Amino acid sequence: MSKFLKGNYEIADKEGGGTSGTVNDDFSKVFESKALEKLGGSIAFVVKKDQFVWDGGDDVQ
Amino acid sequence: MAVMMFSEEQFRLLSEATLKKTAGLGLQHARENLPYLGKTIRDLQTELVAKTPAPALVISAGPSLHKRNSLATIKESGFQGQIVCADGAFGHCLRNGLIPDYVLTVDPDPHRIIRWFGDPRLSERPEDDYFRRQDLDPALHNDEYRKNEEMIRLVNQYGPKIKLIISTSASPEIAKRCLDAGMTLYWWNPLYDDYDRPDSVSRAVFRLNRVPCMVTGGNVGTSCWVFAQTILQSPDVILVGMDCSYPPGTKPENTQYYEYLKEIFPEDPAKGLVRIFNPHLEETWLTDPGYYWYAQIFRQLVKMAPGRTHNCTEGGILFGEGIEFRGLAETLASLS
Repeated sequence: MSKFLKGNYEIADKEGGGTSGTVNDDFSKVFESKALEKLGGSIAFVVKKDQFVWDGGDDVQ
Repeated sequence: MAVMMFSEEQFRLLSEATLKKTAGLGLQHARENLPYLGKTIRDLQTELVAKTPAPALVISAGPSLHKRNSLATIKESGFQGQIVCADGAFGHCLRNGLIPDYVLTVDPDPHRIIRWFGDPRLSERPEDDYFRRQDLDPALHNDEYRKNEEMIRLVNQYGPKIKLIISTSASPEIAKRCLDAGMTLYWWNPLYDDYDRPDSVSRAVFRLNRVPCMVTGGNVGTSCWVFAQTILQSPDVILVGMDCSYPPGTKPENTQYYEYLKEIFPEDPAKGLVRIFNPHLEETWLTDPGYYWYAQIFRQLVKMAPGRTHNCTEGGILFGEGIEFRGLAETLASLS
């Protein structure tokens, strides 16, 4: 028997949880720091035109 | 709104920071990988065209993979679909008798990533406690050299059965290692940035090697999910080990970016960590800016995915619209 709920719904503000819609001041300090670059992801990310794969476009012609 | 979000500006800053961190080395590796290039992910898609798309399991290396013993559940289920494994989960899969169909790698780190494939030059690498500090794979905590030898042996043994979905950003040592192990390689470029920018890295790398550029999601786990959605065209993609966070009670020093959080918050590095309540689990998990960014990206990407996404990690903070957060056993049973 699964104890997990299926589906998705909005969470109420819970003690110890994240506050919806805002980032606390401490967390914002991260973005003011030069260490931000090191905190980034494993690899760059972008998505454009809802495409998952770009095959070179006009560069292929 | 279900969870707290970065502002658009913060999201952009993290994206730019990651591009700055990874593009130079990624391009360098793309040049060094030229001698190893062969088939691409589009060639694989052509090879698969006659097969009916099947559900795909994407195995990432988050802490729940071990805590929930997800591999035992997968093996017991007799799952018949495709198994796509992130490089960081590869050793755990092989040690537990689960041979993935595909392994995917993308991170350009020149010293750490090859460890996942068995590093023939482990003794020559710079001193690094990255693996020992974290819960990435408990097997790496002790006796690293013996475990590395075991990994070399396992990869050599099972390599011929496994397809490596390798980004051109990966170290050429990984290409060589995996070719020596008998794997078949399929190449892709990361989609680094907007290809219409005049200084686009994506366009530069495409012009270098004519290899398709795939959306990464910022990390190897999401790249696996994109691969399953786009190249395998799986109607159902099941995630395990994709926590994007750390379990309740994790010490800050055991988080992935602790050394950088110490720079920002020298008095209390834990200030750089965020607590997120997961209503499905009724638990509060800990995350950091990098992993929180991954979760936010995933929530964006899932809206454009052709196939369904079932998060069966049974942990973590990846939930929201378009993500079915479910138990693993029941999901595998429902898809069999």
